[in-house]
Amino acid sequence: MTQVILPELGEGITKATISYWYFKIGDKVEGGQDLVEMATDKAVFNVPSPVSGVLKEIYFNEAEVVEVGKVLAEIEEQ
Amino acid sequence: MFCQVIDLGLIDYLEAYNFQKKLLDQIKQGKLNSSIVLCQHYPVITIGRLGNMKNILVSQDFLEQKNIQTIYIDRGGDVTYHGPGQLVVWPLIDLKKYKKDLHNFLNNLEEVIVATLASFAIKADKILGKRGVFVQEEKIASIGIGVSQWISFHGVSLNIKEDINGFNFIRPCGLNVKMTSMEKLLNQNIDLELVKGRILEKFKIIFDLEVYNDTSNLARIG
Repeated sequence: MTQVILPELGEGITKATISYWYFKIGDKVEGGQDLVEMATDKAVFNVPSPVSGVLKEIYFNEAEVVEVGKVLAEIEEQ
Repeated sequence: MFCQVIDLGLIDYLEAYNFQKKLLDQIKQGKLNSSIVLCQHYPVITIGRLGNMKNILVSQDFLEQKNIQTIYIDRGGDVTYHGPGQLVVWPLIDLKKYKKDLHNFLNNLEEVIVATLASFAIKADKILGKRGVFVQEEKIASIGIGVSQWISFHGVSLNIKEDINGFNFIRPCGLNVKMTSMEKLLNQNIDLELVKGRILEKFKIIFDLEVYNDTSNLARIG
């Protein structure tokens, strides 16, 4: 399993809100494809899938606030 | 870094938006260079991802009568208004070539506007804790971006012409703020083309870009 982590988004940005999951559990995703859209006050940031595989776990729902460095999802590599 | 400039002129919001998304895909795939898209829109209200409908102060029926669409879009920020006489600037720039830092990019975008306005003898500032560009307490430029694979999209809109009445229908960016424009401040007619040129000059300096005009890709993208 590969973890998808909310990366560093910039100095002073400690958290972001989940605005949209492009995929649901069980979907196939390609490495590099946008997986989830996160929103800060003036920017949205798309977190890509680090690998190709199947989305197995989603740890936060839309509208939840997530700290930088937290695991957003897990993908089973294929 | 090379950066092509694409001027779409006065264009329907969704048409420009769809063009932008296709262009973004091509840049992400490495088929095209970073780009700056310039345009103006017919009157439209857009709502960013953390936007609140309460910041639209009139009814949807009223907006329909005025032929003003309300569109949810994939940028940061709250509610804003676009209309003719306002220059919309969408930098689709590869941020991997700079610092991978959203705040740094937003600061630099605001800096482009502050420097552009200074070249017209307008003293504009950023306000700590608020995004956008202000002249004293009045807001002249609004900002809201998206980033995908560290390529930016959406951007900033600068009020140039005097008619900014469309902002009366909303609470811009969710703030109780009065909007202004270059023509209101200078009390004279401002040539939009001149502003475009100055903005591109400032982009060159602040983002260290080699800016060039290229219309040959338009058909391929559109």
